[in-house]
Parts: sequence; C-alpha cells; structure tokens
Amino acid sequence: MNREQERALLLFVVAIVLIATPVRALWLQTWWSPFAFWLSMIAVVALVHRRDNAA
Amino acid sequence: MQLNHFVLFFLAAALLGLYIAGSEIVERSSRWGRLGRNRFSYALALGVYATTWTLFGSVGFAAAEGYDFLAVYFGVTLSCIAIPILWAPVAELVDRYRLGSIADLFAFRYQSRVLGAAVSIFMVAGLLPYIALQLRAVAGGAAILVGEQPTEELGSVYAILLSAFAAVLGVRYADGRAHRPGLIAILAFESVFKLFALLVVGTAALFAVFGGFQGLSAHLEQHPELIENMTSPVMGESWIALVFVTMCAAFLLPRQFFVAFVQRPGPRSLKTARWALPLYLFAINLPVPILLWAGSELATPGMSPDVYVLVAVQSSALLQVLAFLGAVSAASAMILVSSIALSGMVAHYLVPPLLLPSPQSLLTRWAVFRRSTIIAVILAGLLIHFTLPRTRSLVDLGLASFLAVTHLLPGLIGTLFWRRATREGVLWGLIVGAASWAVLTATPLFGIQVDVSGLYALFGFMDPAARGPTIWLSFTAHAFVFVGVSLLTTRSTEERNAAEACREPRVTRLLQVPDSAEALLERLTSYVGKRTAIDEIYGAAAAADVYWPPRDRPELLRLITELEGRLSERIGPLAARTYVQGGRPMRTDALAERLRAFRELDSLGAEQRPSPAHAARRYLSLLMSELPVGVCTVDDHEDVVVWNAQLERMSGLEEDDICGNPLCEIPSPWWPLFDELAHQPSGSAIEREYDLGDRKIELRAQTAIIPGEPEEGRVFVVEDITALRQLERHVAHKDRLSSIGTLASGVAHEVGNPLTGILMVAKNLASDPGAEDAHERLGIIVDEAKRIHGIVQSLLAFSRRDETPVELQAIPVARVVKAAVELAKLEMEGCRIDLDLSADRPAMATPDGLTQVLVNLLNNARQACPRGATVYVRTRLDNGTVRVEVDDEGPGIPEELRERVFEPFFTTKPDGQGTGLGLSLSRQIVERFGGSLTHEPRSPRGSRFTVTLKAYEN
Repeated sequence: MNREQERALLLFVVAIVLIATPVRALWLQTWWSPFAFWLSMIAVVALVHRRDNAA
Repeated sequence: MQLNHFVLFFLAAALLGLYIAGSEIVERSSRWGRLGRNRFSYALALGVYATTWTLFGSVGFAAAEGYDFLAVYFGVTLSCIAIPILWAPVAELVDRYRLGSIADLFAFRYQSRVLGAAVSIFMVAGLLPYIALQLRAVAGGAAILVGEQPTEELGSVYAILLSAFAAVLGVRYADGRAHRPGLIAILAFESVFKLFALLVVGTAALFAVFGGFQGLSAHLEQHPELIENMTSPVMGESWIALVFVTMCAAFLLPRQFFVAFVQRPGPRSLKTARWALPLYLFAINLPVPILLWAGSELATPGMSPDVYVLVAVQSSALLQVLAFLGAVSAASAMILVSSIALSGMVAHYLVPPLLLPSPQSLLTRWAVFRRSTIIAVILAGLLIHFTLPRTRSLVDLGLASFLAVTHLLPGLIGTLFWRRATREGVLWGLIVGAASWAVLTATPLFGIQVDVSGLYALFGFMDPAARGPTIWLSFTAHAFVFVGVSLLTTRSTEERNAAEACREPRVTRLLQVPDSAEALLERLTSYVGKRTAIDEIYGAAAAADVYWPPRDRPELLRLITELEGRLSERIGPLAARTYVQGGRPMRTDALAERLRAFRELDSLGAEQRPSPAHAARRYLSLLMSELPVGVCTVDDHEDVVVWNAQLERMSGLEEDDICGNPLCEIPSPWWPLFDELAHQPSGSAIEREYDLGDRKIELRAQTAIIPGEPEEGRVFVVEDITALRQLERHVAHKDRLSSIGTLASGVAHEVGNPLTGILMVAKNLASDPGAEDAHERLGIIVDEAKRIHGIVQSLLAFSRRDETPVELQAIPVARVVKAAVELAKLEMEGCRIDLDLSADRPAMATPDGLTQVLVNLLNNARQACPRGATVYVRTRLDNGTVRVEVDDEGPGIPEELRERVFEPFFTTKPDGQGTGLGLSLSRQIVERFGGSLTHEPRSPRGSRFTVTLKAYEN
C-alpha cells in the first residue's frame, strides 16, 4: 500500500465514522448543515488530492 | 403556453437528436474530440449516476424519508474517497487485461465462463427494473405537464423514443473500441444539462414560492416539523444500509463500471473524479429540499411527490419543459450506457452458448450480436415497464437495482484482496444473494409478498418493512456462503494464477505466446478461419505499429498484446486468450514472470517497497546477479528463469532476451552445452571448448535438479575456464621441459644400455672387420641404434608443445581399428585377438593419430598378456560418442599405480621394453581430437583402455 492509498484509507475511516456512526447527529442540526458537512468533506478530499499530486 | 404531447415529444426528440449530432462532431473533429478525452468531461460523464431518480425521485424520497435521500450520494462520496484503494486497482486490471465489464473481471479472476454468465444474468435481471424506472419517470412527467393521468400508451411513446435513441447511439458505440470521446462528451454534456435544469428550476421555485432565502427561512421557522422530518430519519437504521449499498453501486453498477473503467481516458482522470464527482452530485442535490417544500405547498392532495419538481414551477411552462427535458436527458443517458454495458455481458457470456454454433460465428458476427443484444436489453426494459405495478415509487425500483449490484462486492473483494477466494465460493454466494434478492426485493415490486417476518424476527429485526433488514440479511447470507464455500474448496491452477495476476497487475502481462508470426496466424486461423484471422492480425498490426511479419520477438509480443486486447473487447478475455494462446493454461506462476515482476517492483521507488519480503527478494536477486559464475535455471517447462549477469558477460546475451523463452532458443554454443548437461544426472560436470569466431572459450558446466512442486527445474552453473586452462597448459609445458632434465638420468639408463652394446660390438668389429659374424654384429648395432632413435623421437614428441589445430575428419572407426590390428598382429605372437566391430559409426579424429594410439594400446596389451591369452577389441556407441575398448587378460595394474598410468616415463614393463611415454602420448593425441583415453581394471583380471571419440553428426 503506497502513501496515497494510506491517506485514502485514513480519510475513508474518518468519513465512515462521521457518516455511519451516531456522530452524524453533529451535522444534522439545521436543514443546510448536511450540505455544509458534505461540501467540507469534498474540500478535504480535494486538498488531499492536490497534496498527492504535488507529491 | 399550452403544452401537449406533440410539443413535448418534439422537444425531447430534438434534444436527443442534438446529442446524436454532438457525438458525431466530437468523434469526427480532433478539436472537439479533446472534449471527450478531458478528465473533467470524464468526471462529469460519471454523473450518469444521477438519473431520473435524482431529477424526480429524490424529491419523492425526501418527502418520505427526509435526508435519507442524501445517503444515495454520501455512499458515492465515500466510494470516491476510496478510489485509490478500490477503484484504481480495478481500473488497472481493466486496462491491463482489456476487460469490458464486471462479468469479464469475474470471469478472468475466477477463470470461469459460468461465473461470467451468472453475473450477466443477475445484472440483467437487477438492472431491468432500473431501466423501467427511467421510462416510467419520463412518461409520468409528460402526463403531469399535459394535465393527464399517465397511461400505457403514453409510456410506450416515450419508451420507444428513448429506446430508439439508445439503440442508435448504442449500436454506434458497441464496436468494441475501448475509449470513445463522443460517448464521454455527450454524457458530460447531458450531466451539465440536467444540473443546469435542476438548478434553474430550484432557484425559480425558491423565488416563486418563498420569495427567496429569507422567505424560505421564515417558512421553515413557521414549520419546524419540516426540518425535523428531514433530519430525524438519518438517525434511523436505513441510513447506514443505504450508504453501504450506494457506495458499492457507485462503481459496480454496470453503467458506472463501463464509464469509470472501460471509458477512462487516462490515469489522472480517476484522481480528478475523486472530488469532482461528489462535487457534481452535491450541486445537483442542493435544490432538492427546496423543490420538496415548494412542491408540498403547491401540490394537490394525492399527487405523487416524485413529480414535485414539475409542480414547484407550475406557473412557468418553460421551466416545466426544462425540468422535463432534464429528466429525458438523464433517462436517455442511463438507458444508453446501461444497454451498452449489459449488452457486452450478454454478448460475451449468454448469447454464444445459446445461439452460436462456433467461435468463428462469434467473432465474425459480433457486431450484429452486440447491436441485437442492445436492442434486446432495451426491449426487456420496456417489458418490465409495462409489467410493473404503478404503485411502486421510483426509489423502490432504483434501490432494487442497487441492492442487486451490492452482491458483486464479495467477489470483487476476492479479486482485489483475498487470493483464497474460489469460483465456487463466488458462484454459490451469488446464487444465494440472487435468491435472497429475488425473494426479499424483486418479487415485492411485482406485488408478490413473501412472508419473511419469522426470518427477520430470528435475526432480531422487528420491522420487516424497513430497508435495513432486507439489505443486511441478503448481503450477510451472501458473504457467509462466499467465505464458507471458498474455505471449503480449492482453487485450480488457472484460478490461482489469475488471482496472482490480479494482485500485482502492474507487473504481469503473462503471455504464453506463439513462437512465431506464422504460428500465431495458424492458431487464430484454427479458431476463426483464415480470412478473419488475417483481418484481425492485420488490424492489430496496424494499431500496434508493427509491419507484418514482425521482425523480432518484442514486435511479435506487441502485436499479440494488441490482438488479444482487441479480441477481448469483443469476445471477452477468456475467449480471446484461448484464441491467441491456443487454450493453454496461463502460466502466471512461471518463475521467469515472477522474477521479472520482482525486478520491476525493485525498480520502484524506495518508498513503495518497504516490506521485508521486498528486501529479501532484492537481496536474493542481487546475490544471484552478482555471483562470479554464470547461473542459468530453467523451470519444469524448460523455459529459462534465471540468466545472471556473469552469464550475460560470458555469452553477450542479455537477460531480457533470454528469460521466459525456451532453453532450446538460446543460441549456440549455450543450448548444446545445456542440452548435453540436461541429459546428465544431477551433479554432473562437463568441460567443453567452443570457437566463438573471434576467440575460443573453454567452459566447465555443472547441473543440478531443483526439487519442489510444481516448479521443478534445473540449474546450470557455468564457469569460464579458458584462462585457467591456458595457465595449466603453460605450467604443464614447463613441467614437461623440467621433467626432461629431471628424468634425464632415467633416460640415460634407457639410452645407455643399447649405446654400451653398440660401442662394444663396434669395437669388436673394428678390431676384426673380416669376422664371419660381421654381418650379424652390424645388425645388432642397427637394432640398438634404432632403439635409441625411438627413445629420442618419443622424447621429442612429448616435449613438443604442438598447438597447431588438428584438422579433424570423419573417419570410419571400424576400418581404422582393423588396420591397427593388422599392424599390431605382426607382433602378436602367442596372443589371440577377438574383434567385435559391430557398432560402427564415423568419429571425429585423424586416421594416423588414431592408428598410432590403437597400435600402442594393442602392443601394451600384447606385452601384458601371457601366452595363449586373448586381447579383446570392441567398438561401442554411447550417447553421441564412439568408444573403442582394448581389453587384455594380463595381470592388470596394481591399484596403487593406476593413477600414474598416464604419467610420462611411468612404466611397469621390464627394462628395455618401454619408455613410459606411450600412454601419455596416446592420451595427448586423443584429447586433441576432443575425446578421452581412460583406464579401468577389467574383471576378473586384466585392464581395459577405452578411447572415446565424438561421433560424426551429419
């Protein structure tokens, strides 16, 4: 498993915890917060992608 | 503006016509063609995931289950995060083995057409409801717009329109070429169009119904239950199951697999899709809650929330048409790609066994089959559309398909991560999964209810209507059977090889290829006929930029790789491999391939090979490479596995040109050397001298058998002893010269006796020249002088360092032996000679030299024999050599003296009967012929001297 895959796995585990465990109550406060959470997750992925590309 | 069916149909047809025209432009124009190869276009094309379910169904889903509808897209986002772990290895396999579908991948990994067929059947059954969903959504939307109830006739009209579009483009893109920019471009464009439509409609609804965001906020403050209805279902049990199912569907749905892997323009595309696809899905889902709340405000009682998108903008016919066209666009793209993807599976795995008489038919008529199957798939979707009860929501139909593809996950895990997985495990898991899917998910769609509440209760699920239990029960049963059966069954060799190839796809192409271009043509001809074979090979040669016939092996390999890939795209990987490789089992376990793989791994950056296993492999690889002796190993198929650096230097042949090829293809003198050794027992050694044109080389080679299953082979260790032998000869020459001096006293003794006799007789004769016996005395002098002359000649011959090459010729051994016996017979008084020359074959020697050797051996035998004894002379043929054995019945040579028998001046004869140079000279002569002279005791007594010469090879 290379570095990119290790980072992807770490990100995947964190995302699963946030999406599939009771922690998800945190981003269910308002009608727009699920979208905000979703967008921030995409932003993190994009940043990691950029870092992988730079590496 | 009053909308009617004619206007809607015309607009829908115009939009689809635009797509067809656009695809033509992109295909024909290099400038526009770039659009189809762009990584952002690719990411947008993956937006084919968003169908009418997203356009219409999401609002209905949100109305029933709140933000649970987002699970369908959160799953995709999770899947995209895992692209380097899950998608990238699959993409690599698809690229490397030119796979066209998930059925191809399973058939390849598990080496089973049956499994490919099972996956195809399951996918067709699972996806048809989804195709029906698209047709139904479009027909329902049109009915709403014209203010009618949806009817079968109305559904049929739009179904036929969409089917015709899919059939026209599907046939266009079913020609087997891997990447088609036109297809990617129109998929990207339709993704942009449906996004635009939904955003515009959502914004319009926001301002038309709520007067903007402030109005919406006020509305939600007045109705807090709306937010509660949206958020609370997310904490329920369906959420996780939906996320899981859609995570699988994101890349296992046949249309997603087709776009993501088969149509991938390049490696970077997948990385871009990692964030671009979730971002696209995010954008297209933003308006969904707004449309839900706006639609709720305007909808009449009893209206399905699935059409709230149209209701929310009911004040504007233009916006309604825009939303409708967005749905038409999404439905048409989904049907197009799904039908292409499914038709590939059907054409590879279902049609041939049922309809085609021969493999030739498959290849020559593949285009007809692909096009027929596309139309058949669309017609089947139509049939489901008419059959399904109208009470089912769009989400129910879509989820049924999603759940079906979830059952591909265990097999995929086996492909990527679990080598122990077997085809039986996957097949039985799939059967159980399909059965549970049929009972728990599919039959309820048709209004058939099976009471499974008891089963649910057994596992602690209280609500049989909930989505979670159905998904978990079905998947758990599948996974359990998959793992259990895999552990209980064993993998075939082919399966094990394919599993290995799937684990390290980047370093294994693993072709067992025909040896020549002619063999390739012959092999393909045997399957598909000469005309088709020539067409296919010429097509592949043009694509691979190879002129027929290929000039060398690398060109042949390039051609074969291209040919197999082209065939694989059309007839599946298994059939293609059989056509090109003649059905021989793929030897991915070939040691040469493994070692090549290791070398490629070693060449990767240090960051990528941190494991101890890699370090050990690298160490062994370096050790083998740097050994100061040449090492060549072959496997049980006599293919070269190792050709180390020292052997490269000795032979001038590079490892890459030798490894993986049959031993017999190595140029001379290496092949004859190894071939000779290969027939020797383990531990044998031989020494040979070869003329390489510009130089001579002397080699000492040893062999040993490598034990073990299933890779038994041989190792050859080769040492260049040219310099060593030259040094030995030089030293031996010096030794011989010095030995002349050292042994001068011995020689003086030999010469002194006859010389004394000569002097005495000469003196007597001088004092009495007229004596009666003067003549007799002169004879004595001559005889003694001859004896001295003989001794001197022998000494000269022994000390002469004659390196002039001997011109060997094929001589009739039996005839030379007879001549030697005739010569020796003169001195054979008292002995019998027993000749057995039945084994007669020409050998490489010179007649004079061989005669000299044989006369010497016969004289020795005669002198050793008592009177009346027999000297046996026999010829024998043995493994490419001719042997002449001379046996005597003398007392034999004592054991302690046997080692010295070929030493110069060593003799067991009485004084005056031998100089001790005969045998050493004979051995020298025979060795110059490339043969050998050996001695062994003869049973029960006596000695045997054997002259071994190379037989003449015609």
